[in-house]
Amino acid sequence: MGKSNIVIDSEKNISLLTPGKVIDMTGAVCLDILLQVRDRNGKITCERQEYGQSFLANFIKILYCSMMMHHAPSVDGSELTLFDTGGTERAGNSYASAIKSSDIFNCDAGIGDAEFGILVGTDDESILPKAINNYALGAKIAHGTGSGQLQYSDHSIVGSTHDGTTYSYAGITRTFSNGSGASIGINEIGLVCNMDWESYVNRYFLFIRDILASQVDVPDGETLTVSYRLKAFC
Amino acid sequence: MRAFLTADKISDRITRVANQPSRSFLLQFPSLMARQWSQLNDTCKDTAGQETTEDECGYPFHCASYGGYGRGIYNGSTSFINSFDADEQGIVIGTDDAAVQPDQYGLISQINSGETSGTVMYCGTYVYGLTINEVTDEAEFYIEALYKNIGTPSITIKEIGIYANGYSPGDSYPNWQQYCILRDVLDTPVILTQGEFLRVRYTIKIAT
Repeated sequence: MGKSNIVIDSEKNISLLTPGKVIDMTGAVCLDILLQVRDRNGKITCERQEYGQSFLANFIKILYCSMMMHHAPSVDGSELTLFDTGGTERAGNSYASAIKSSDIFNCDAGIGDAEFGILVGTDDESILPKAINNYALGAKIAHGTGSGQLQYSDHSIVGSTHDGTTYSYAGITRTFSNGSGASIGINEIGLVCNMDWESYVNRYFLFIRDILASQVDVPDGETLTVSYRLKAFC
Repeated sequence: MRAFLTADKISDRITRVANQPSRSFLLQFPSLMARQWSQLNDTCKDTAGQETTEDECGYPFHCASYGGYGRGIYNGSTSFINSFDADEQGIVIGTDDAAVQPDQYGLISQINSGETSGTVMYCGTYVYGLTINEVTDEAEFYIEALYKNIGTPSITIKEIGIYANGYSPGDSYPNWQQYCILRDVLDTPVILTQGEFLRVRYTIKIAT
């Protein structure tokens, strides 16, 4: 059986890893992050692709509960809990909760909603080092046109596709517009879901957080499009 | 995220017969996930080969109880276990060793559950053992299944996969679809003779 290799190409700004290095991705499910900055005329001024592996504890916990169809299994003698984006520990104490609901992993936030979906931030780990138990971005950028703010769009799906031999992917996209009057530097990206987890009360849970290899600047008047593609290699 | 596959043959002793990295999450896994993320529709094939265009679904990824709530064995505070003799969902086994392609939607030649020739009894799939290591920033859990060859002198297992549930809102049991999210071809085929058990385990692992 063949291998799915990635050759890191510096000209395409695949920047997390060393140019020329070959990585065997066979069997991996990873996050393919596409970043595009466009100017006022729609011209792409910056385009980057990075590979993330930043699934957090909340991700595997939700997947675990989903696969077993149980909202609150016992883990090491204690009931499984999730930490919401406010840092509060939440138990899935209703069987009619997210595990059987269609809103499990729901990231479909609408225009202007910076509570969930794809979120962006300015932290380069100087505030919050990346760790499996992260439950929030280090410095989330708020929605708006004030200083340091970006305007959050709604989301669209990246439909599933494949190359016929080595990989398949699907994902989600969101655009951020800068009307703040100054450039804003993006260093972190996260994915937050909004789930009916606790007695019919929806909570927000961060389940993916990536620190970019280098800052992406979004000048005033320009837009950033972030696509998270879940890519499965075989 | 990666998965690792082990299999043990159990007769009068336990013999490790497979120990390999899983090489093949399939198209249906990112598709199901993107549907949940976006709550928008996407097209993929269920295990029957029917193309479905669906948005978010209930019970996504669910593979440890047959059909739905109430059909499996409720193991108290830990998990559900698939119904005995259920081969539509959970870990499934087959006899074909055709190479994996990302758009495959099922095993090529699944062995059905049963006691007759050419079948193997499916004794349940269960999900358990989540651990999170905050020091190494790693986490993992297990999906495990047990099979017994009751009615076949000898059967050779060459492929293993995971069928996960996903149904569109409005559908109701038993009209739920199953999706093949992973298929592996064994490095070395496993011959299961009459009376022997096979235990298959996938370890799902993330590292942040």
